[in-house]
Amino acid sequence: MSGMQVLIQKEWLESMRNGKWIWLPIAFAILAMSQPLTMYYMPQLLEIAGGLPEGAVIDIPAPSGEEVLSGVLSQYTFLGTLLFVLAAMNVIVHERNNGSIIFISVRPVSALSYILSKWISLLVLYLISFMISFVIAWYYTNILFSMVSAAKLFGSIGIYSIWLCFLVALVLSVSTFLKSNSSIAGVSIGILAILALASELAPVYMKWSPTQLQSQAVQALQQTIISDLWLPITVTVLVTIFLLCLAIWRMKQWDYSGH
Amino acid sequence: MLELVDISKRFKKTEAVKSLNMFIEQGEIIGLLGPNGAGKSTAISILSTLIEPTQGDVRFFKKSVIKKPSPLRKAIGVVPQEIALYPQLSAEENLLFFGRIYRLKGSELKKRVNEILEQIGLTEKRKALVESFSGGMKRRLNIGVAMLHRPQILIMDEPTVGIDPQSRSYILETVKRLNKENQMTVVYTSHYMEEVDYLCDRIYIMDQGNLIASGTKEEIKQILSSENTISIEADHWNNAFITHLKEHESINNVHVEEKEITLITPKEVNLFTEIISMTEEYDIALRSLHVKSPTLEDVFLHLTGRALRD
Ligand SMILES: Nc1ncnc2c1ncn2[C@@H]1O[C@H](COP(=O)(O)OP(=O)(O)O)[C@@H](O)[C@H]1O
Ligand SMILES: [Mg+2]
Repeated sequence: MSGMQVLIQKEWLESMRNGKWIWLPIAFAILAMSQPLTMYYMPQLLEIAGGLPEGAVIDIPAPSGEEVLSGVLSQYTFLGTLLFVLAAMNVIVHERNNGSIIFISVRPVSALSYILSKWISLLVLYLISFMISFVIAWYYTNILFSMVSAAKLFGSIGIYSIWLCFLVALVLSVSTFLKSNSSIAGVSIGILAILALASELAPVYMKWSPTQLQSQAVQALQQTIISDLWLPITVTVLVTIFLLCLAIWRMKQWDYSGH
Repeated sequence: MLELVDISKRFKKTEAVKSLNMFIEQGEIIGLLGPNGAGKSTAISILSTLIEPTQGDVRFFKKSVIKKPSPLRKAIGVVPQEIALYPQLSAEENLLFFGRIYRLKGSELKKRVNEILEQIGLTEKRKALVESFSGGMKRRLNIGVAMLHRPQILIMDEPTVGIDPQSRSYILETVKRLNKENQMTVVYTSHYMEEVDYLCDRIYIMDQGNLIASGTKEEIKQILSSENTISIEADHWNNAFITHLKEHESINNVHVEEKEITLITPKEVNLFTEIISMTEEYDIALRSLHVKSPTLEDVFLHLTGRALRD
């Protein structure tokens, strides 16, 4: 495992140079901030847009802080996931395609430390982008709407982070099977979409699903007791471990002939 | 020291390497020559235990290394055909990263990186990002990375493809020097016969997965000792002339390039005057005509009927 620190360091140095450590946090911050800001200025925006009959009163009930932050979470679920997949799709493939994997694999680097180093470095990038932006959104929400307690905020962050562990492992695992960026992004998003759709259509049967954690992160903002939390957490942790093992197994099957 | 014993490798339909035998002794520079698709990269990947052969054995100091590759892997440095570097890191950062992967640390690592930068002539460019490098500089760094852990055997897969002539001769000189001064054993793959001719002690020539010739340079050129190579130069040709040459009973091989035709003929027949009168007959402005001593290229032409770089 001693090689892992070296691998992680290199990942970060690369992500700094290619700007992932800049654009992903900034994109997440804009995504998160835009929700409370647009909701707050919605009435004025509608007015500017015009088209309302003379004398009509715009009467949108002001949402609660919890509702605003729930909106932020659903932004992450769609756009946030997409941005992350775009940032993560090439981390393994570029090394396989440019052959640097050959230098790594003739050395005492195990598939375990290789895959774990990728997982950890992506997860940290993702978690930091997510947390900073969510805290910024929380700050604006508290100023513009009603106060949301820090306990609720961190409860929600905690649950959502477990989901992110799964998400990173999924994209990595898919990356070990395919050789082009677009197919990796496509297959990852396809799997996520199927999971989301299944939860939508047959919620009773999907109580175990990792996607459940997304709605539970929303619940955590609104109430202190969350129903059926342990089942999806357990399943998500197990599936994450399984996906990482799958990636390690798959990496051992690669051939290095350069074709 | 290192041997391939009756190696075959099949990828689904293609048989990339067919029962290849090869041995490498300490301190030699071995050349592996052949056109694209000959199976050179496959042979080298098997030699460096990156892929397993379908059949046969790889032995290092008489011990099979297919199932236990680590003693061999410690002893070799592999320079892959592709540029295996991180473009967004500097030359020095690339070397430091791979050095750490090779378990070098602290001042020893720094010292080694400095030595390598010196050897590959990139000391001045150490802080520049690899993406800003020319093809030749990338190639040199690629070689530097493979040498970090002081391998006994350096295995190079077409290290001079697609680079400028200066970088190319720099690389050739470096390889020669490493071999002379550090007694490094080198396996050098190429489809340029001049390189192999210049560098190597012993040569293996492959074509379509088969080993078609092997031995020292002199031994291989002996294959053509009973033949002459005649080169005809002119500005352009006409088809009738070429057909006539091809149908001539004492000409074994005709290879046509834009301004040069190469013929292989038996030593005992003298075609000089005949060729000159033929060029007159077909109205060809002859520029030169001479008999050459055989090159490895001619050996390949003789054995396969094709040029190396078709
Ligand atoms: N991984 C692979 N899968 C399928 N075919 C391959 C693979 N690697 C090499 N080949 C085929 O084997 C033959 C030899 O290839 P290669 O060893 O790369 O030749 P060279 O390096 O001499 O150009 C080619 O026909 C190539 O297409
Ligand atoms: Mg090749």
